[in-house]
Amino acid sequence: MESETAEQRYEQFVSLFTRNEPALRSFVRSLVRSWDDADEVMQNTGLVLWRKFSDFEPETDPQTDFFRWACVVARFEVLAWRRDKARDRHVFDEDIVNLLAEEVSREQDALERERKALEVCLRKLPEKQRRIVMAAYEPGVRLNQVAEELGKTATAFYKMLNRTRRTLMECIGSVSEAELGRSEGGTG
Amino acid sequence: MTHETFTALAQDWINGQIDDAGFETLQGGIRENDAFRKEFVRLTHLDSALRDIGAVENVEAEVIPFSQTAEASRSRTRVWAIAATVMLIAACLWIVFGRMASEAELSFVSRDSEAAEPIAVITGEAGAVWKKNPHVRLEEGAAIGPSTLILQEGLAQIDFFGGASISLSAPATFELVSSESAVLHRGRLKADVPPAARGFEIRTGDVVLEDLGTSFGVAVSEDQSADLIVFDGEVKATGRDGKPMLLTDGQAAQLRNGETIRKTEPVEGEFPTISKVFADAGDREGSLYSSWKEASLELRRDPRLIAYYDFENLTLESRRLRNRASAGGGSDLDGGIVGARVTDGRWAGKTALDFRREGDRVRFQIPGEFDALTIFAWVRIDALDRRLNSLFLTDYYDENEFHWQISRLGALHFATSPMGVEDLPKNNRRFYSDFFWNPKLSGRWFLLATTVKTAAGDGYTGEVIHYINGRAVGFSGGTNMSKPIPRLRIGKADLGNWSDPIWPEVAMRTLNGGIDEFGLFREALSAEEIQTLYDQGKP
Repeated sequence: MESETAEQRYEQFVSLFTRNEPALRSFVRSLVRSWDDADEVMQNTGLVLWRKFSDFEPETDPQTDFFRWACVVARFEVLAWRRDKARDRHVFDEDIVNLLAEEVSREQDALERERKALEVCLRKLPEKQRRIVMAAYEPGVRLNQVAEELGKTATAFYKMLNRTRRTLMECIGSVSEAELGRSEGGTG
Repeated sequence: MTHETFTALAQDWINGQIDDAGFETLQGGIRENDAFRKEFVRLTHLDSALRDIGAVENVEAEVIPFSQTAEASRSRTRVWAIAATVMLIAACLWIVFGRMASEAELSFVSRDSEAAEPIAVITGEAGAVWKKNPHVRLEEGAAIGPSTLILQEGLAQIDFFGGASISLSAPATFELVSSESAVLHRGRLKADVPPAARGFEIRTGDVVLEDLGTSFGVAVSEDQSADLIVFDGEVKATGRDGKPMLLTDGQAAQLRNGETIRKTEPVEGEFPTISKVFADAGDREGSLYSSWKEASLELRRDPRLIAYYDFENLTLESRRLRNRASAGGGSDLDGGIVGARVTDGRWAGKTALDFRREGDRVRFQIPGEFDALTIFAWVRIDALDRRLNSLFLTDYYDENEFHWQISRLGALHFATSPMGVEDLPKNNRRFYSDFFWNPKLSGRWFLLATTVKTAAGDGYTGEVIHYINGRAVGFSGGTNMSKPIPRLRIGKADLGNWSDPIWPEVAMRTLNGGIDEFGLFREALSAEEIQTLYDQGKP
């Protein structure tokens, strides 16, 4: 293999990392308590990934291989974070982290498909419900604040949000391949 | 544990609402049950995906969330979170490479845009009557995506985002294909194509007309044959045989069965022009304005009015907003204009007030207690950039006073509390209408009205109805809505702002928009009366 310049190597890293970042963050989020925790773990993960990037040798497809590798690194970072916070409330036990991490890695293709199906399903939601769920997922908002704006109690609002998530989960399971193709604007 | 119980716990965990016992049960479920584990991963994954989409959507919609509040600084957008991680790495690398990653490297894979992106906008109408299309809003100022429009009467001006401008004359069936192309199925149009939009295409039947500069007219009859005339510049007509024919200034042709045949005799009939659309619209606008004026003079005499402001003949020096209601307090109820600047109202020549800066408001002092109320205003909303955006707010929020405003998500909101600010969660009666506004409606005039009947004592708790453009709408939310509504008081109050707010640090509620008519009645008008108000005043 021709030797790459450091700059090329760096560009390759940024490209792989940026592309895999959402899925990786989602992976981390399922293992920690909150988005703030996930952000903390992600920062460390990003740095470790870069430091160890010279060890990364794609076998087949660099995209999927990078993601798998990044998941392994992220899992160790979650475990390290966990040890710092072990005495805090609601931090998953180590065996749970491992079980979940295996599950996510195994199901990655299915999850990727669900992500695409979600876009189809959001379009199917009634306008009002869609607006509310998007407002709830607006960056930086607090849910009780959104509830307040909607003139609902926090409890009623959480219930509604849970119901919407359930509706979306059901829809995601029923989205056909044809609909997925349309949402992508092609078959690619 | 049932599947349902597990899902409920997982949702609590996502919402950050789980308790200790619940958390242990959740862990147990994940540990022991494969199906639960799978479910948990799917749910958290959905949560992440929604967060990603929420960030992109909300950034695209240019909704600035709570930007004036302290919470915002806590956690910026998701996009920034990603960027921050990459930047942190980049910063470390900078030491190594002596350079920062360029913006392009830090940019993210763009998402597929919605299928129905707007490609054109209706910029003018003169007596236009469109055939209703449930998927397209057809009126002046409306942005439209790819769609087929049927103009039954009148003239309309459509500007394509590519730069070409079309004047369409009824009856016509016109299909917008992209920002650079359209199909005329039937009817008459004139296309004006500036140099920047060169290449704009109109198809009729089997012939494609490509504009190579300035302007041409086409008329398609019911048998699909078409006449073409080039007013200025050059048009390339390509028929079924694929051979282009060039036509220049003054030349005409007939298009039939996919062929182009040069014509010597002039094309019959008149082609609509932009200036005609606007001239006709101007007449129409003038007549709408004058008929509103007549109705407004009549309205002044309504004995049920508490106060009525027509916002007419305001000048830069105006500091008084005249109360025109014949009944009641007369000039004692004049409003004091503070800051708000004079601007154009619904029609050319009609004045309005613009509310934009933090201080902009009109001050009122309106005494009395009311068993019922109708409050209405013609409002132009430019943006809803605050959590609550003021229409008419009494100072502070004392007992039996009320607040009339618009929520950031686009609901009309009426609130009153018999106990003032004391124990608000228990006492505050709040009524949020269905959402009626989104940023695409920025700049348009709305008639907003709310009628209130207060509790009469004998078990009747009262009633609040919100009206948007003359039509009663439902509620999207509220609190204590079935508790009795107290008799209402106003006292000192602001139009377009809030004086003496309850929470000074987060209370900025200046309206971002304009108002050109406002009134209060001491009775709840009927749905028909509100509809009439709208019909008489719609722009």
